[in-house]
This record gives sequence, structure tokens and C-alpha cells, in this order.
Amino acid sequence: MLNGTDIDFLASVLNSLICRTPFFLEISDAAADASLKHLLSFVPSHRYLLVAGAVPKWARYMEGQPRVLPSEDPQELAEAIDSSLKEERVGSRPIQFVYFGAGPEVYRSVLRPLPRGWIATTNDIDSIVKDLPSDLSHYLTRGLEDVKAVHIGERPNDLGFEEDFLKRIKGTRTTALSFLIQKKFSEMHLAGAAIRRDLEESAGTMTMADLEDQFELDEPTATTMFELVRAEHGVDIQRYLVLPGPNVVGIVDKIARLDHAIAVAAVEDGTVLCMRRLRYSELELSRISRHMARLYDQVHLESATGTGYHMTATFPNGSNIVVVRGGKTTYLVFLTREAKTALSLSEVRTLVRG
Amino acid sequence: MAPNQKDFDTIISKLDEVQEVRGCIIVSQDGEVVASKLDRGLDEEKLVAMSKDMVGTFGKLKTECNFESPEMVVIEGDSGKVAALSVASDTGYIFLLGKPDMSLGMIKMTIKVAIEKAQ
Repeated sequence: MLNGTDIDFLASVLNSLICRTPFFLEISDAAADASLKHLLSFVPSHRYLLVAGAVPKWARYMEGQPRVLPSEDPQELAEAIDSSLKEERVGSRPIQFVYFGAGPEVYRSVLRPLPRGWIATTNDIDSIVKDLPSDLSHYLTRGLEDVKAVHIGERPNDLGFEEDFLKRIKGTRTTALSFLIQKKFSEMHLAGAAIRRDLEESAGTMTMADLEDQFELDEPTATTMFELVRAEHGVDIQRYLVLPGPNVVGIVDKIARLDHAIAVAAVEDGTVLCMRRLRYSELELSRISRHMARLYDQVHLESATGTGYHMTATFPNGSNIVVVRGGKTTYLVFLTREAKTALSLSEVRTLVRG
Repeated sequence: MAPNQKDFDTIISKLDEVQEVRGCIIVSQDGEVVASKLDRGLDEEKLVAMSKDMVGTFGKLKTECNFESPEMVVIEGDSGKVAALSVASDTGYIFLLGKPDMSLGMIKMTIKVAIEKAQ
């Protein structure tokens, strides 16, 4: 069971694994091996694990079958890792380098030139910190009773995704925790690979709603997946997505807070830009929204109902959909049967049109 | 019992008596126009196309989205109102074009009475 400090600590570790921020670990208690094994079990299994230094026997048999690199010549070792990191940029499998038993000398000669993707264990994190260049950003975290970590880089502004994820799984036993973390990493890795393939093969656009509908990725996971792909392959796939403006997102979020709202979608030129699914995940939200938005445009064109128009649809089960246009964007709100449609419509109109 | 052509004609003439209604079209689930009556000045061809298109979209909600077809759809604007009402269990839709003050409660009642009388 993780407490608040552990969640903060592990959130930083997960973030560093996602962004491939290098970090040192100091585990000094009697259960050092168990704690280290546990932490290293979080290393994404799709990465090629390279280990060096005073590699403990158990580490040779870790999941992912690590390759043990000779450590006698620090320069040679640094060059080998650096070359693997370069190969990632041309399609090779991303690596994760773990150095066991690093001191300041190893940091200077092997680790410091490597920009990303390494973890080093040490017995004396204070000496390491003292030896870091004064202009190098770093931050210290502590958790899991007696584990310290120094992350080389700026402290992340937002660890919301990692913290929310850990809070959801904090009650699970150690093995389940590793499994659930690996499952999340695999989901992001596989989705990232499929999306990159999709973008290479088709010239079409993709939206966050497509990611949710077709890849079953919720928005926080998708956003973190962009980070993972950027860190592992140097590709920013977020640039290829059609993302809604902050104004649209703001309106959608406000509508989502209305009583009786089941789901909200914003559609522009037949593309679902943004969705908030509050209940009923099985709803084909994106497809229904596209049809309803098209219907709304068609009726206006054909019948000239005038300006400032809106649409309501009532279904046999009593649920409703309210459709309101604001600028170029059509907002669709799915309501429960308990909703007073006229009242909800008025609220949505106020939020959309100000 | 599903309404027949005579029932549809009765419904159309009853709706035509409502002052705020400017026109109505009944479209079957297959997209066929089974009855219509429109005020002069309304573009029948365009409105029929719109009605058929709407019925097509309602069908897609069911077939493509695993959702229900709507019972009623209302589009309200500054200068008018368009309503599509489902007729007797998936038989089709009645499309009404009306003035902004067209009361759908009254319309629904008129349709219900007309169907009951016809049966």
C-alpha cells in the first residue's frame, strides 16, 4: 500500500522513465535489493535493457533479458551507449541503460555525456550531488521508506497523470503494481507505434477524439504517450494532430460540469475536435456527434430557420441531445432522461454564446 | 396496426389546419415521401431532400452507432422551427415547418388524435 510520500516519489520516477530523464537511486537499507528490483521492474519492457557496473546476479535475470556491457573502459562504454541512443533516432528499439554502483568518477566519464535514458544506482548520493556541475538542474525525491533519487533535469510542472494513475492502483500488491505500470507503458508504446504508422500511411488528419475512439486512449494517457514517443524516437506526433483551441476546450469543460450531462463533443468541419465522456463509455460518441452535427448543418442550409438556431433531439429512452453552434464549432451535449431539456439548452447556449 | 396512406392524408390535413404550421411532409423509414402539404413560397424539392436526408441520418444512428433513432428532433431559429416526429413505432417521420411560435405539444396532440380517429 503506497502512502502520499511514496506516490509523490514514484510519480517522479515514472515521469523520469516516460521522459527518459536520467536519475540516480540510492538505496541504503537492508532491503536494498528488493527495493531496487521493485523500482527497476517499472522500466518499460519494450526498451532494450543495457546494464553495466557492479551488476548483481539477480539483475542479469531481470525481465527483458538485459545485455551486460563491459565496464572496464569508461570511454568505450560511453561511446557504446551514445551510439545506441543515436540509433534510436533512426528506428532502433529505444534503450534503457542501468549502471550499478556509480560514483562521481563514473558520472563524469560515462553518464554525464549521455543526454537521456539512464539510471544509476549509488551508495552515496550526496557525493554525486556535490559533484554535479553548478549550472545543472536537478531535484531530489525520497520515498518507499529509505530510497532517494536525484533526477537530472528540471522538476516537472505537472505530475497529474502519474499521480492519478498511482492513486488508482496504490492498494495493489507489489507484483500487481509492476504489472499495471507495465501495462500502461505498453498501451502507450503500442498506441504510439500504431499512430505513427497511421500518420505515415495516410495524409488525413487525426484528432484527440479519434485517439479516444479508435485507439481507446483517454486524453491524459494520449498526452503522456506523446511525451513517451518524443523521448524515445525524437518524433513529436502531437504536431500532426488537429487540436481544439483553448476556447473550445474551455467551453466543453464548462458544459461537462452541467447537471445531467452524459457526454460533450465539439465538432468543426465534420471533425470531432474534443470530447468529454462522463458516463457510458460504450457510447459511439464520435460517430454520433459527426452525424448529428452534419444533420444540424443540413437543416439550417435547407430550411433557413434563421440565425441563432439550435437543435434538440429526444430519444425513446428519454435521453436528449442538445446541439448549439458557437462560431465555427458545433457543441453537442448528451443529457440524461432526468434533464429538463429547455433548461439545459438555455445553460448550454449561455456557455457557448456568452 | 401501422397507419396507411389514408391515415397519413388525414394527419396531413389536420396539421394543415394548425395556424402556425407552414408545411408538413411525411417520410417513410425507407426515405419515401408518403404525403406532403406545403405553403406557397416553400421550396418543396429542397425540403423533401432535407427530410429524406434526415431520415437517412436517423437510420445511421441506429445501424452505424448502435444508438436509437430519435423520437423527436427540433431545430429552432429566429425565423422558424423545423420538427421531425417519429410516427407510430418506426413507420416514418412527420416533418413540420412552422413559425417560431409553433407549439409542438399541440402538434403532438393533433397527430395523436388524427391517428386514433383513423384507426
